[in-house]
Amino acid sequence: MSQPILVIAEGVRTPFLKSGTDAKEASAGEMARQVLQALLKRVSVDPQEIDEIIFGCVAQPFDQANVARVAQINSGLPLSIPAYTVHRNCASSMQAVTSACEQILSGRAQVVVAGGTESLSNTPLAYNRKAVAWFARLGRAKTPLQKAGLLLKAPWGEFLKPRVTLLEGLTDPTCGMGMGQTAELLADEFGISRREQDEYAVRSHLKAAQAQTSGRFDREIVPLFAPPSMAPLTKDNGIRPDSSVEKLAKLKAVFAREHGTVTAGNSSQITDGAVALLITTMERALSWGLKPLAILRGQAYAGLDPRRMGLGPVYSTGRLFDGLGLSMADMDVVEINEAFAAQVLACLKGFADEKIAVGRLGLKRAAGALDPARLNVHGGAIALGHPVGSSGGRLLLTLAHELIERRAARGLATLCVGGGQGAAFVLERDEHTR
Amino acid sequence: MAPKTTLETSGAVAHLVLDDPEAKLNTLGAAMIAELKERFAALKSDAAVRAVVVRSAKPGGFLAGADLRELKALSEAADAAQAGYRAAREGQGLMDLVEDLGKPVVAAVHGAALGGGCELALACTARVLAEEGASVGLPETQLGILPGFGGTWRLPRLLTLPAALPAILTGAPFDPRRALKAGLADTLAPLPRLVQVAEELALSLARPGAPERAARVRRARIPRMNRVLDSAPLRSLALSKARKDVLAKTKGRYPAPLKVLALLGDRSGGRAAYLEREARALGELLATDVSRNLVRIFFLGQDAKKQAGEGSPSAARAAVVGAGFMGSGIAIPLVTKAKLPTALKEANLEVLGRALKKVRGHLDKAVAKRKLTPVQAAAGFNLLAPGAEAQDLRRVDFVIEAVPEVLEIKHAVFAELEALVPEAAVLGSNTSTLPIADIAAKARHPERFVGMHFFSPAEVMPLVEVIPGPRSSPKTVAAAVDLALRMGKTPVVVKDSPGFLVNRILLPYILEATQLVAEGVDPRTVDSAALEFGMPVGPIKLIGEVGVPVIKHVLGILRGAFGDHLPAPDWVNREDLASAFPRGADGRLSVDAARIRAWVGRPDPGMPAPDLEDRLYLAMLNESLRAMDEGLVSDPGLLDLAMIYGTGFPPYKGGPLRLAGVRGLPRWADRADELARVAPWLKPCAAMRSGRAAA
Repeated sequence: MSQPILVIAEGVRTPFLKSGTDAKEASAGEMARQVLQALLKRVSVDPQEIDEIIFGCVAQPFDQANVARVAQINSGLPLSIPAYTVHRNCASSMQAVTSACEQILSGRAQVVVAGGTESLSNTPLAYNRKAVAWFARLGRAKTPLQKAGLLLKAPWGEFLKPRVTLLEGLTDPTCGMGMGQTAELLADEFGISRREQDEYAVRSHLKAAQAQTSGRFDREIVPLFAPPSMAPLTKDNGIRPDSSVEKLAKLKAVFAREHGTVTAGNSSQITDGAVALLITTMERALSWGLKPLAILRGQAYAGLDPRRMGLGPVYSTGRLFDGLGLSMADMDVVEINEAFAAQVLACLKGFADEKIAVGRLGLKRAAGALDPARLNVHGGAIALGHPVGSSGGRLLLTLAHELIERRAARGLATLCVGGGQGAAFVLERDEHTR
Repeated sequence: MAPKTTLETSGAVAHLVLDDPEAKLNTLGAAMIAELKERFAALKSDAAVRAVVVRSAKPGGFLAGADLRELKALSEAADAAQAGYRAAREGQGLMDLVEDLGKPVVAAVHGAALGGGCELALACTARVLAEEGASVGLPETQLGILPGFGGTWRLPRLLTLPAALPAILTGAPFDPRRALKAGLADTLAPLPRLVQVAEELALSLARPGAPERAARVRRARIPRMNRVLDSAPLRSLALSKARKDVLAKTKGRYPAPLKVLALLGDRSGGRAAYLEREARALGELLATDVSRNLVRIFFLGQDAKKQAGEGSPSAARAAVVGAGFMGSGIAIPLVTKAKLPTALKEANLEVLGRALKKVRGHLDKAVAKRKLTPVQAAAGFNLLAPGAEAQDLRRVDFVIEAVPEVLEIKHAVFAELEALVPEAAVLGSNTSTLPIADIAAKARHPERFVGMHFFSPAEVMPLVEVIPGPRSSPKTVAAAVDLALRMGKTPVVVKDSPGFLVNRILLPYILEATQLVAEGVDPRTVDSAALEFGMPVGPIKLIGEVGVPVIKHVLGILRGAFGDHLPAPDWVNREDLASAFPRGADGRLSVDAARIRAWVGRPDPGMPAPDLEDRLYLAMLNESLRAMDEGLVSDPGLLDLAMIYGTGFPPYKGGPLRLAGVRGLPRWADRADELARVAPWLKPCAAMRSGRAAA
């Protein structure tokens, strides 16, 4: 029996909204609930046909354990459908798709919703270790006298030194580097200037602004009704159509203050958003009378030095191309997650340059030069933002729509992963897809 | 006759199980009372029995109250007061027997313990309530009577007067948590362990001094303030304040609450003397028209609820198309009462967002009022699937359309819907005026069209007119009735005719009011005449509240059909009519009487109040009789019910047709003839002259 053809049958996402803005009161579970409902409304599939629901989420909400299950139940989907949450840092929603594919290929499922959800607005501040220890002692205190004694010894100062879980989450615990610092390292090693990074960032904003004006993203986006006003949100709100190199030049480097090149302006934005994709086989999708968005041709993950995590796409793409016998020349469109401009620019060198790819990075061969005109044609995370657990799914959704838009055959979506990993997917169109 | 109770013994505890084989719910009719008296008398003398548990084998509840059909018969008896008194004495005898049994009796209550059921529980030594779903209360005043089996004696003694007063005066039942806090329940138990807990409690109460200790524990839970207010001098203060509140709210039109207050104010003579007075008061109330009307309306409402769609498949997924004021209001009971997954389709996302906010606000309020838990509220909200795209509707089996009242828009919406929804789906139209025949004229499957006219605000108003079109299938109509019931509404099936039933009758009344204004009567005078009559809002103000465009639209349709007997005052046709109904900064609507009077430009004719009131009422009565003659509804009771539920026609007057019966139609016809000299459109219709069709 030949292997079934896996497809993204349908997909939707919320607009990507800068953290602390319009969606700040929508939890990760609430956003996932809304994309789940919206996805199921787009396809006339009986919910009973769904075998599994998988969501990626990085900053998993402490009050919504297994957020995928929370979202599923709240969306009114049958309780009989199981659901779980996966975590592979920035590739979490890609991992959800991978897990979906594996379940289908192993015969344990046929229809899976794979998505991602992230509310970085809702990452908590945590008490530090000393404060926590004091609260623990207070909890054990039995008599009022003991309690009063502890109150006198309270480490008041520590209460004002919370742990910012968002910042700590963006720091690699094994090498101690912040994600921005890894981008600085790549800028240094690959000789990428501040100006090159800023120019890249401006292009991202302008392309995204153009796409937003033309309505290109409206095909992907479903409205998010954000509490408490429930006002419908339909547009990504991080795009700056008036971005310019001059404006970006004024920003200070944030990760290496003295001679740094990585700024808030040429890094991805901290953002809230969710995405949901319906993964199944071509056969099943066609049986619903549904033309799928794209075929999932192949996928690969690769590990590398955490300090150079930004090169993850070079490694994972290399591995994927080796497996599929493809090269960059076969890709009509490419989506690379723009964690940092420096990191994307370093990847471009890693793809193109045989000496770097083989000599420095130890790959078998270079993937091939990537024409910038085919890269992130509608901008990327620098303009749209990077709701970490949702970004991978967004790349797949945007790529699928772009293949349809261009009547193109094949494309690549790849992303770097904190902790030193890369993820890469190849999507294809054929006569059965949209 | 088959026994309505069974007796089981478990060691020294006897279980008296209420289980009327002839009914779905236990009621406390004369036969049940007699049987219980025998049972308790036997238990009293049975030395092997140390304690008793009273419980019900009905899944629906403990004991739903008096047998209302018996009550109705009593109230219609020639000597209703005496018959009511005797019935009350019988019930009181049972309760006294339970209270004085000499052995502990524990009521194990699940579901409803209302009226007589509550009074039985009160007479017990202690009460265990099922944690979920138990509902204990004395709703008698809502039927124009009072708890006559000792409820007004025991409840204040158990809860203190300040806590018992609102419970008796409003009839609002206690949920389990409130019952525990108020000292009404001794403890709560999960339903599967209810009987076991009650049995253990009954045994423990058989020990000397235990009942007194239990009473102290209950008492200790009662808020200190209520215990203080329950002392002799403060009690009369509480009673006089309650009397003032009742008078302000009811204008003395409902005798029952006032009777309750008078009863509670007199503690002379101990239990026996008090109960004698209570029974007499019940008899007197039972003999009033108010109570007869309220009991009749209660039965009509019950009957309307029993017409459940036989054999119709119940909708599992609903959709509302159009999320404006009506659509969002209709969505609320769909998710809160019917608990159906509901697609809310609205092309304008801003409108959709506002609808979601309204639903959330409604649920938040329910949580604040403890009617829903936060989890229940969230579950309700999550049932709503909002969206702008019509493709949402491919899996629904009941759609309610609530788009603007323009035939072309309705046609376009239904054309799109018919192409999408499954074959078996029912298509309901929330139209207030458009004939269903017209709406379904272009349908591919007219048999699945039905009108569902909700009243505004749809989340509050209990009435739904269900209007079969000429080609609607019986299955479709049954499905609409079924859905309305599941939404907690009272459906009344009405013939497809302009204005359907309620608007058909209401509009002539509003028009009569505007005509009176056109004759020079101050709008405020007209409105207060209607309020005096018992209507909840004056007819002039109602124009502003319903909305000038809606009123004009409905008027246009009714004038087209019934112009021959409708007055046509000019000022109502003004383009700037809406300016007569300004909204204040607080959002409250008012009537700019000076402006209207300036438009009319006539001196006040000083019309006598009875003329005002009778002209307003006759406009309604004439139209009601015409509606009956045309067979818009099958029964005069349904018309009265619809007018009370749909317009707030004063329930104590029993509805427009019932009210006519009090003086008799011939006398109303004479009166109409008399008034028709100045208002010719009020000429009595054929039915009024012939005296047919009064309720």
